[in-house]
Amino acid sequence: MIILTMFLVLLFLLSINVPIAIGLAVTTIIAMVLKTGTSFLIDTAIVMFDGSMKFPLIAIPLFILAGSIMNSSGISRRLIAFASALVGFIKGGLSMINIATSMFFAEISGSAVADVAALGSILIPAMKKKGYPGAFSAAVTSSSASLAIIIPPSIPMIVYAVMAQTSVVQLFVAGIIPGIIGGFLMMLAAYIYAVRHKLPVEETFNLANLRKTGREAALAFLLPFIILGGIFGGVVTATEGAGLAVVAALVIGLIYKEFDFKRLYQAATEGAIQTASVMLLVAASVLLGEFLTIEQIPQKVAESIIDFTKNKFAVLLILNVFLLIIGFFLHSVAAIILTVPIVMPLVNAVGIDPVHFGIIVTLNLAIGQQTPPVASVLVTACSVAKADIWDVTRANIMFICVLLFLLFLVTYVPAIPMTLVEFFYRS
Amino acid sequence: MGPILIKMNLYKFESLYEKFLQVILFVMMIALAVVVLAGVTFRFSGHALAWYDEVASVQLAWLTYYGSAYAALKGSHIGVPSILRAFPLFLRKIFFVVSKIVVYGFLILLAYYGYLVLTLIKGETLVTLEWVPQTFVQSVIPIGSILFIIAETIRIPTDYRQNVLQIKDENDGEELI
Repeated sequence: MIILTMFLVLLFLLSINVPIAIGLAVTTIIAMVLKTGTSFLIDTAIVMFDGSMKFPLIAIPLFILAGSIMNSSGISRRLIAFASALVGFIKGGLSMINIATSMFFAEISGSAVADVAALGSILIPAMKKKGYPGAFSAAVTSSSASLAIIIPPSIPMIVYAVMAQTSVVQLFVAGIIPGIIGGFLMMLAAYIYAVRHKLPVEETFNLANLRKTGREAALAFLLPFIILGGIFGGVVTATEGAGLAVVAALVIGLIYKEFDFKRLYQAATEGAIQTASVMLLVAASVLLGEFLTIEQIPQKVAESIIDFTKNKFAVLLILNVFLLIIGFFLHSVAAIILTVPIVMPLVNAVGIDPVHFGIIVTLNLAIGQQTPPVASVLVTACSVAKADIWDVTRANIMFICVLLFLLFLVTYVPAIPMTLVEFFYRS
Repeated sequence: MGPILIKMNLYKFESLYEKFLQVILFVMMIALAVVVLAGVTFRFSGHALAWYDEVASVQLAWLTYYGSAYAALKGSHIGVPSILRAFPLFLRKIFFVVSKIVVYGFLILLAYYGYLVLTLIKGETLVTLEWVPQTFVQSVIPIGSILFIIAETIRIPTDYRQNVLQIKDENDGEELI
């Protein structure tokens, strides 16, 4: 009874636009006071403080800061020029460039919204000018940016790692192959669309130009090489790697001579907003965790589903459907914070690897970023393209299908995400 | 003349308040990066800093609460505004008031109990830096809550315009990440 009331109160608070973090905290406080009395109230302040002190999450503000610095350093332009030389000769060249740049960019920034804002503002107007429909331009930018959240570094993965108490480094490694496969599948879909709609090539292939643009963008490639290399090699932790990313981004910004103090100031303050909105949710989720532990809700959920089926693949199907539905209504980090603590006992009980499940969760939420009503990345792309959200969604269906197919592959062929992890960390 | 003057003063206050939070957050972000880098450097040099983990975690907590006030000022906390916008105007007005009462209620509670905690932990210090009192470290909860309340209050007219009257402003805060 108390759980149902709690759920309804939370639903009401979210419907009237109370921030999710506060809605979650208020709901938990009401439930706990009803259950244990007002003595819990002082715990609220203590838990909200302790909950925001999660050391592994320090990587979040640092990756966001590094990404913002890189965004303001003229790196987008150089990456686009390189992608153009690399894949611009294929039919529908600008969509190819868009997808390829998103994949490169993902190596730097941990945030899909940041990718759309940085790349979309350059590529979407260029695509419209070349005769690409505005809705299609927004769709390809939006979907490829969401795919990027499974390519490391990824903020949703960092949050998942903390919630599921698993290795963030292994999650980063597990995302690489699905990310590359997804990128190629999206390019294939864009190519078929381009042939059907007779979209132009961007430039003829020229090795000299590829070398020239490659040299100019070289520093942008050096950054993930150093940082991810350091993290994967076990030389630095993910948090330390994020700290190095900030320094590397600053150095590159100074070398490209497009970065100044004003931009650093702006990058830091915007980064603080993004960090705080995620961290307040994390702190509130720790409060919710207290309640879940007392009520043993995750264990009850696990038991009731295991009574129904013990088959790992059937459980994965149930979890996928559940996560896809959640993705329609919740922002990706919020969805991870709300669902992962509840489903983890079930995941462990049926023997699903938590790293494998992490990639499944992230990919589900990448799809959630593309499906209205709550679709943060899609909304950003629509606002850059000045296109209607439903027109873009219609154009986006083929890319959502690509993401769904990738989700199917990742779910039922665990070797796709897990081979590199097994090879590097478990053999 | 009167209302215009009040409006101008409010605008001036908002811009001053924004600058105040920005400066604090800028310093915090840079300080966090510096501490993490110092941690890596000293670890590699074979003299790992004992206080690194604890101090960096406290910095993240400070960034969370000071940043939350700034995020409130910019309307950037993660929420689901699209459902409220689908209700008819009179319900939007009622729900707007209810949502503000819920937010204020929570923040006042957090500020009060956060302050109460401070009175209970007098004399305690950080484990690795014994000269740093816990009352200073955990002061972020009541102070952060009060800063959040001020930001939420400044934000009322904009929120009302956007969510109740549904007039879209430029630079509207959108969900991030």
